[in-house]
This record gives sequence, C-alpha cells and structure tokens, in this order.
Amino acid sequence: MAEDPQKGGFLKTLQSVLAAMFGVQSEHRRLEDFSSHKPWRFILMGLAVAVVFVVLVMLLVRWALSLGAV
Amino acid sequence: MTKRIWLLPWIGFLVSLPAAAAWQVNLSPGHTAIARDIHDLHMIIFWVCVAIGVVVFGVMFWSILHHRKSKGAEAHHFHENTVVEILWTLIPFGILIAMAVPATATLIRMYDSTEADLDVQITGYQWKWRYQYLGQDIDYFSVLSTPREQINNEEEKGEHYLLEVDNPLVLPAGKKVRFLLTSNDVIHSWWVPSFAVKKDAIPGFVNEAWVIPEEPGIYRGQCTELCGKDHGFMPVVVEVKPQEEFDQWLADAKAAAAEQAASAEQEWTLEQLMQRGEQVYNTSCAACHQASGQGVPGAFPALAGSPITTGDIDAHIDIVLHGKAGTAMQAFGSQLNAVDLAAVITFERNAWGNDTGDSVSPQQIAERNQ
Repeated sequence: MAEDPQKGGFLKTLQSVLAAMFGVQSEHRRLEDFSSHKPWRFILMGLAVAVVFVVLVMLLVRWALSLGAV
Repeated sequence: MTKRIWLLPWIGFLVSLPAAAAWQVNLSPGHTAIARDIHDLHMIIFWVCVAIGVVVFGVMFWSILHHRKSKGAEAHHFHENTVVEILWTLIPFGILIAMAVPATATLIRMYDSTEADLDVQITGYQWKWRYQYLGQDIDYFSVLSTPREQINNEEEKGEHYLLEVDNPLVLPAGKKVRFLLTSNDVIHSWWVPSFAVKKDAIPGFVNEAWVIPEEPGIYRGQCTELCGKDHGFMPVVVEVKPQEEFDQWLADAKAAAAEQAASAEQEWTLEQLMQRGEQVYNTSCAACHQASGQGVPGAFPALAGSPITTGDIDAHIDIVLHGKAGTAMQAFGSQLNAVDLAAVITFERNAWGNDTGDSVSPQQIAERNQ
C-alpha cells in the first residue's frame, strides 16, 4: 500500500465519484481512495454529481417530449 | 434405459411447442396504428432478447465444453478486469437505450389524447360499464347479456360467452375518440386488446386514453382489475361503424332517449310493467338476488316474501333508488330510468308469490327520486 497523504485534487475526486456511480473501479484506485482521511470531499462531490445527474435526466425528458409533441 | 423415462415429459413439451403458436400465445397485432406499433416493439424486443440469450448461452456452453477439466484446462486466478467490467456495463446500457428510443416514441403518442373528435366518459360500476357521450346527451349502461342458463351450465354456451353485452359502446371509424375513465365504486380497468387500450378506472380520478378505430366491426374486451364477485361478468364490447351509420345511430339514440322521457309520462298497465320488470330484474338484480328471488343465504337477502317487497311501497322504492349503505345493494336511481325502476319494483312486489297486486308508476319514481 503506497501511503501517500495526497491532497486528492478535484479531478481525482470527480473520477472516483463517477467510477462509483458507474459501478466499476480499479482495485488500485479503490485502495488509494480508502487510504484518504477526508471523507467529506467524496460526500460533497457525490451530492453535487447526483444533483447534476438529476438535472441531466430532467433535460433529457424535456428534450424527448419536445421531439414527441408534433 | 428405464432411467431415461424422466425425459418423456420434456419431449412431450418440445413436441407441443409448434402447437402453442396456433393457440395465440403471442401478443395480438391489434387493429389500430398504435396497437401495431406496440406489437412491433414487442417483437423487436423479443428478438433482441433471443439474440442476447443465444450469444450469452453460446459463449457459456462453448467455454464449458472447451475449457473442461478432462482437456486439462487450468483456471486463471485474477481479481478484477476493469476493461471487461466496463464493457459488460456499457453494452447492456447501449442495448437498453436502443430499445428505449422507439418505446418512448410510442409511449408519447399513446399519451397524446389531444384534438379528439369525440369524448366518451367511461365509468366502471360493480359490475357493468356506463358510457356517456360528452356534449351529446347520450348516457347508457352496458351490461352482460349472456343468459344466466349458460352461466349455470343449464344451456350450451354461446360463441361469445361472457363477451357479449346489451348495449355496446358505438364509435365512428377513422375518428379520434378520447376516453375519460373513472369509477363509481372500486378500481376497474377497461381493456380492448385490439385497440391496445387498457386503462384503470379509479374512483375519484380521471384517466385518459384514446383510439382511432380503423375498421368497422365488433371488438371485445374485459375488465382487467379484479373488482369483486362478478369481475368476469362485465365485458367490454365496442361496435365500430362507418361515419354515416354512426351518425344514424347517434340520431336514433337521441330519439330513443326522448321517447324514453315521454314513456315515463304515459300510463302503464300491471302486465306491461311486469313484463318489462322481469327483463330489468334479470339484467340488474338477478346476479345477487337470483332469478328465483331467493337470494343467497348469508350474502344477499331473498326478495320472495321479504318485508321490503311485501311491505311499505315507499320504503321499497327508496332502497332501490338509494341502495343500502354498507352492503352490496347499489343506488339504482342513477343507473335505471324511471320506467325501468317502476317496472322492476312492480315485478318484485308481484313475482315469486309476493302477489301484493301493487303497481308502481314511473311518476311515483320520479317524485321520490328528486
């Protein structure tokens, strides 16, 4: 286990959250994430991505309905 | 050899499969554009599933056969393979999206009940349907017309056994008809497979559906939400007529309604009322109180010799008009017209040895039905 008290970084956190939502994560990244002592950056990023996902689904539904309404 | 006997039922099953196609296990293609779309979607999705099944089971069986122990196969030991995991997530995702696109397009069209040429309100009752042509002053009930004798196995069953009614819903061909569905008592569901219309009728709630019937003809369906004792005895029958014939039917129905109103004014003899009353009794009352008037002990009271049918006339009229709360006795005041109500009450007071000699007039009914 390469102990690296890394800061994480915005992009890395986003990648981890997206991988979690997709349901596939490499073992290497999983160990890296779980060695972090700052759960809040994952929780906050998770909430933000969930909100973005909901908005995207709503936009998709609106777009589909606008196509359907002749 | 004898141990193989367990194979027999399976062989029988496989041999019977082609016969299954003959008895219509598949979804019917229907008789409207939407119904055909739904059938096509059903077939596309079915074949997608078949293809997936063939590929998945093909790979599985091939792997089992070619990597078997007797050929010296050694298992690979590894924990994860991110590429494979991403692939087996993305491929089903892609397939689902590919199926969702045409399905959504059809669903959106199914929900678009705007710009209808005709509005019909459909109300479910235990156990009959009521059709009201909105803005046309036409309002009638559609009741099962299969004779009781056929149901009780006393007669040969007819061709449309339990799928026939006295007054079918009549629609014009080629016009968009919007249905507004609701219920008077419990949840029913109005279903005509040929139209691909199946909508719940829920008390206190209005659901919408629509159809553009293409070919004139008779289409049959059933209530598809278990709604009580006679759930299987409230079929849906739709008669589609060409526009001119529909217009004629509409005019006739309006004239009949006017005549009905006039007949409530005229004098009716006891014999006339008895004759008509027996018909009304058989369609509206006999399901519970039985043709014999004996009811069903413990469930539905007997009318023969009952204190209500032999006692005070007004009390008898009231219970028929307003029903009895907490029991299956419905309020028939809104379901039957004054003449039918007068006739059936007269019938109940004189049939099965009740012989009160009472005759109830439509005017009497109208007075108490204020």
